[in-house]
Amino acid sequence: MTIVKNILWLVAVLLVQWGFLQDLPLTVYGNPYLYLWFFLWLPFGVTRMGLYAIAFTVGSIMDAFEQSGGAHTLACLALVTAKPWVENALIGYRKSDNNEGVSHLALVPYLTTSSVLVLLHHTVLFTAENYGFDNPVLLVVRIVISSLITLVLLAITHALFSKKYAA
Amino acid sequence: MRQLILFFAKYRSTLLLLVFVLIALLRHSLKNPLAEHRLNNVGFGAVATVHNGLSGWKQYWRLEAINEELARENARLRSGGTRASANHFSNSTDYDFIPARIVDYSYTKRNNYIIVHAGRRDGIHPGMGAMSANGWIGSVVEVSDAYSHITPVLHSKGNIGARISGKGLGELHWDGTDPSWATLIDIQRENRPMPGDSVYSFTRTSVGPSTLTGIVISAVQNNEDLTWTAKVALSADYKNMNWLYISKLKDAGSLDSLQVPAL
Repeated sequence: MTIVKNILWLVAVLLVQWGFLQDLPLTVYGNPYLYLWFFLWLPFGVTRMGLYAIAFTVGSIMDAFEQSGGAHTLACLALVTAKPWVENALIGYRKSDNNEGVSHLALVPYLTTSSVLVLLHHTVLFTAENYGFDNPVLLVVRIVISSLITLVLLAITHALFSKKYAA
Repeated sequence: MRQLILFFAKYRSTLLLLVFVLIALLRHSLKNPLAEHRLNNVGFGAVATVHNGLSGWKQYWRLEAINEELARENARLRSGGTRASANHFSNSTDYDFIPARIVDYSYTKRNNYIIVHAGRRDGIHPGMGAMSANGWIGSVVEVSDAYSHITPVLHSKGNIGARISGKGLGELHWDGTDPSWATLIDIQRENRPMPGDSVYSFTRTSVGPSTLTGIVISAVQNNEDLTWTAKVALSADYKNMNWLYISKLKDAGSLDSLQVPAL
């Protein structure tokens, strides 16, 4: 049942990404990528192999839609590889049977963890998309602006769906 | 053998990650818009079909802009002018222009793309040129039965040859920032570009007719080789596109026969 629920969330997140956000004329310096919320939603208990398989699948879907080769796949794999370490460093001890993810944390730890992961994801994504560090100033501007917009949208999503927003 | 199995069992998650990273890197390195990339072709038709479904929803919100674009194009056609107007390429009798509805496009990336709902069965092939009513857009690089992928000027590999009437050739390239302007480089020192000069595409005959691409805003001379570099306002509105025309050379067969290398 949990798997079906997660798949439905994934489909919903990808539909919102492609139905509303992809052509949003906010800035010429990149898109917001709300689909990252799905990785924050995933329970802490998911195994590493499970995380890699999910990241590869989600990244490949995004690459197919965005015609971006393997940039999203690489960025998603980097995100899920770093995710357990970032969580351990910033959130600390969790019960092993914890069936909730980062998205169920209170706003401050949620945004702190999200910021690190989103910045990492966007850095890998835009560097891969740029095929290297050509025009570094523009690359940094793209990474920073896109990360900020993504984080604003993630905060709004958190306000809408988290059980502990008021905490 | 047992050691090998134990090794794989112990490091299975790291090995899986390595395999996924290698596949992603391979796919990414093959994503060269100027070459065939079969691995990335897998599922292109299916993805384009989904885009087509979503574009109906998205176009609903752009109806006002679509109406305005069509009204302007209609007014230009009714005026019957043959001056260097934006869609003057349609005066070319050597080409057929295949209309294609855009189902998805981007303009905020370093390497942008356009997908149109017209493909192989409409007579489109890789290498054909694409233009909007306002000017040159790019060229077709990938085709399925019903859809085509276009690499626009707004791409790190979307450079094209361009000319200013009476002032020779240069190369137009986009630096990855604002989608409304590009840079024309390597114009000979005796041909100083002036603000207001029209810039036309200059591609192989099989790609498309010479098409208005932009207007020169300013120009500076390089100190080293004294060539001119001009800032060009692109005539196509990449933020708001709905229909394109794909140019198809009518007598491509004859041209092909001329290009066969001598034996």
